[in-house]
Amino acid sequence: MMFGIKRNHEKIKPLLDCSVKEVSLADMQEGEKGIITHTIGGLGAMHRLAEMGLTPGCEVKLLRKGSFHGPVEIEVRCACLALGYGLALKVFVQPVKANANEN
Amino acid sequence: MKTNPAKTPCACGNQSATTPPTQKGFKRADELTIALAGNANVGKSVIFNQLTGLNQVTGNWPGKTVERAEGTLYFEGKNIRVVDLPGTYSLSAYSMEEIVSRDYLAIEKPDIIVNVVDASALERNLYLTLQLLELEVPLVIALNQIDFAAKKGLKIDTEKLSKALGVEVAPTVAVAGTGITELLSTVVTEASKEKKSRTVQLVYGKEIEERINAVQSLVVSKLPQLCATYPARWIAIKLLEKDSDIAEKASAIPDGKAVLKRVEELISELEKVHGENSPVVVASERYTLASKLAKDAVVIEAKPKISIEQTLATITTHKVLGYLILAGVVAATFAVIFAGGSYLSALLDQGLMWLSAGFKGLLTPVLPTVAVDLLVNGVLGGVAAGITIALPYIVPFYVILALLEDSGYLPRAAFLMDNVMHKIGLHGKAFIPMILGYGCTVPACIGCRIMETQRERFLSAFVVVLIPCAARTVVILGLVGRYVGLTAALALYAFDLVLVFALGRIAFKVLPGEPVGLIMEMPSYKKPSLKTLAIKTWSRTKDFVYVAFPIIIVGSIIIEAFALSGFMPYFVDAASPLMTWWLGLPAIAAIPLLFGILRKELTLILLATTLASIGLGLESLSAVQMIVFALIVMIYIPCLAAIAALKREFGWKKAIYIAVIDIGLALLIGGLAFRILSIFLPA
Ligand SMILES: Nc1nc2c(ncn2[C@@H]2O[C@H](COP(=O)(O)OP(=O)(O)OP(=O)(O)O)[C@@H](O)[C@H]2O)c(=O)[nH]1
Ligand SMILES: [Mg+2]
Repeated sequence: MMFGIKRNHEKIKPLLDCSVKEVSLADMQEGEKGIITHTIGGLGAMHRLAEMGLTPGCEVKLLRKGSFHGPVEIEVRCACLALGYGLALKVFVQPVKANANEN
Repeated sequence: MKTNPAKTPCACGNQSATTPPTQKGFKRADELTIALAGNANVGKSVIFNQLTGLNQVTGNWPGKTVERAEGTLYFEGKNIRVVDLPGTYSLSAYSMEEIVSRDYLAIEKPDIIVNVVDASALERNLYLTLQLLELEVPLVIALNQIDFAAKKGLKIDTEKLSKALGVEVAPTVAVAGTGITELLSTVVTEASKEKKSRTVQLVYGKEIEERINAVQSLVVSKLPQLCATYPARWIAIKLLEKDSDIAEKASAIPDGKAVLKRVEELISELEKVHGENSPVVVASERYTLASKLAKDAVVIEAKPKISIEQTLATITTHKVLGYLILAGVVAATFAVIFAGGSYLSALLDQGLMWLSAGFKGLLTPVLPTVAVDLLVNGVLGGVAAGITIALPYIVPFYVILALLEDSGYLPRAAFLMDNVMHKIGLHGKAFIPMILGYGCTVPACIGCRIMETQRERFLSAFVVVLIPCAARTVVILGLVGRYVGLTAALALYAFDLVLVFALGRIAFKVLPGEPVGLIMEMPSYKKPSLKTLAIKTWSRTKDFVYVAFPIIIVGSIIIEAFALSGFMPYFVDAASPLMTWWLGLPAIAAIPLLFGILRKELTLILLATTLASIGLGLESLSAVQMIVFALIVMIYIPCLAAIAALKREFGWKKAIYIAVIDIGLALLIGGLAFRILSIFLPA
């Protein structure tokens, strides 16, 4: 059923910055923040990620990365979540410039 | 006013997985069933324990409660049945547990569902709350951990939250017992109210609401059978979410196919508009609403005071330091247990020796010698052995385990080990039951349900039974550690880990498959409360004494009787090819090994008593013999209780597979170790 969908970022466009390239969570730097654009993979994995709060438009912060393609730990919706490397590769984010939003 | 209802004398209960459904029609007015539902690790079981006075497992990692537990209490003239549910983040058909939970809530219809919510992560928790509201079940919210939320600088306007959701909200600090009575009053009041339709309607985005309504009217007219069980709006949402369970149920109904066809059209419209899969769209809608509700309800935001916890989280998951700390924790654990255990053991030994001599002196004039021997060597010897050999090692272990469980270290260890666990076809979470396995194999096997699929659960259980439990630690430390040296004992543990990974790797090859990736909430570190630690250690020790001591005593009596009967030489002859030729052990060591099937610490206790019956002590064994004996105990057949747990989780066939593999392996490794070690450690 994936094939029928043309992925668009219409709904979250206002949050995105067209000049920044999107990367997977696994490619982010420790301490960096980003906005989720989309997830890929099987329907099960995508649904599961969404249910844990990783929905398009949501801000995440990469807290740390494990060594040798280990899991990543992120902060999302005020809670910390560990994601295996395989899953981290399936979540795409647009990094937010560091100084842009500090609270 | 903050009396703890657990202290009421009427709090009592039992645990069971199978509950007879409440018969709605015959329910008495003074009876009430409440179910505790919520995300993992929010404090449901702490509240449950507070309410019922029972001892459900608690701790600081997600996924402890894997099975429904029940208890009862008496409050304001009502008999209240309390049900503790496993934690879930959602009620989708994604996992079997979630289907079971939602069917319990929708079909067995507890009178009130207490949605326990973690105030420090309101947004994430409200995601489930919204789904409970979709399910249209009677709800009360226990806004728990407000103390921790305050530490994070968050204060929640309960009034506002309650108004926005149309649900009563009772703030609680479960660990301190604060607000529990008030929560209970709220629940009782809510339950006595007439059912009326909700005044607050929570709506999602326009595009999705239109389609929910379209499906809903279709469901009402075409699938009345399904509407008898579930609310129509909920069915509509689930169908739009491509929920396999509900879709299946719908297609079993004659008109269902047509409904599903129309739903499919609506789904593709929705997906076109949103550019996402419909399940993701629905999840996003819920989170958007949850986020808004949370933002509106959080009033004060001060600076968070959790920098120590965060620093600790950073260093314990650090790429290098994290692993060093993990190794340090493990080494320190064994060192402490060994040092503490040997000290306590020697202390108790003296006291009991004196006691046993005293008894012998007292009894000899009044009873025949055989009876005195049976009583003193059998009964008293058994008790003494249990106290001096087993307890000194087991109790310190329980303390440390409770510390690890309650502090929040376990998820960090799981994070660090994710990589390694992938090598045996599992992921990091499987490391948690492995650590629990060092305490006791039985809860560890059941704890393997933390894994997502049946295959992963079985693989985890397969490695978990090979982890030396506290009972096996008694043998390793009490025999090898004490008489051969701590290094030899630690080498045994290291060997065990190598074995676990080698076998795990083989099992992975036999049962191939990609594990579902790791998704685990990482709770903040928390200072374990002394009281919780004490209660936990005490209740585990108590269980150990109640279960183990009768078996130890009976075993000791049988061996004493066996020795007195004069059968020993025949037995020795029969056992000697395997025991002496292959394993290099005294033939009578077969007796304790046989009894060890009941409980593993029995092997050492009975080894001591058996040797004593032929006038020898444990120290008469050579270093190689001690090591081989400990190796066999470490690997062979999990004890009866563990086999029963395996049977319950995976069925007889797989339980027997595991037992047979482990026995074969133990004998093989034992024999090889005897031959190899004899070269290096000549007697
Ligand atoms: N600070 C604080 N900690 C709490 C509170 N309630 C529970 N905890 C802690 O939160 C952790 C989880 O509590 P549990 O009751 O075991 O959680 P649960 O919801 O049953 O978790 P699962 O069975 O894994 O789903 C424990 O370490 C508790 O000590 C609270 O009100 N304040
Ligand atoms: Mg629990």
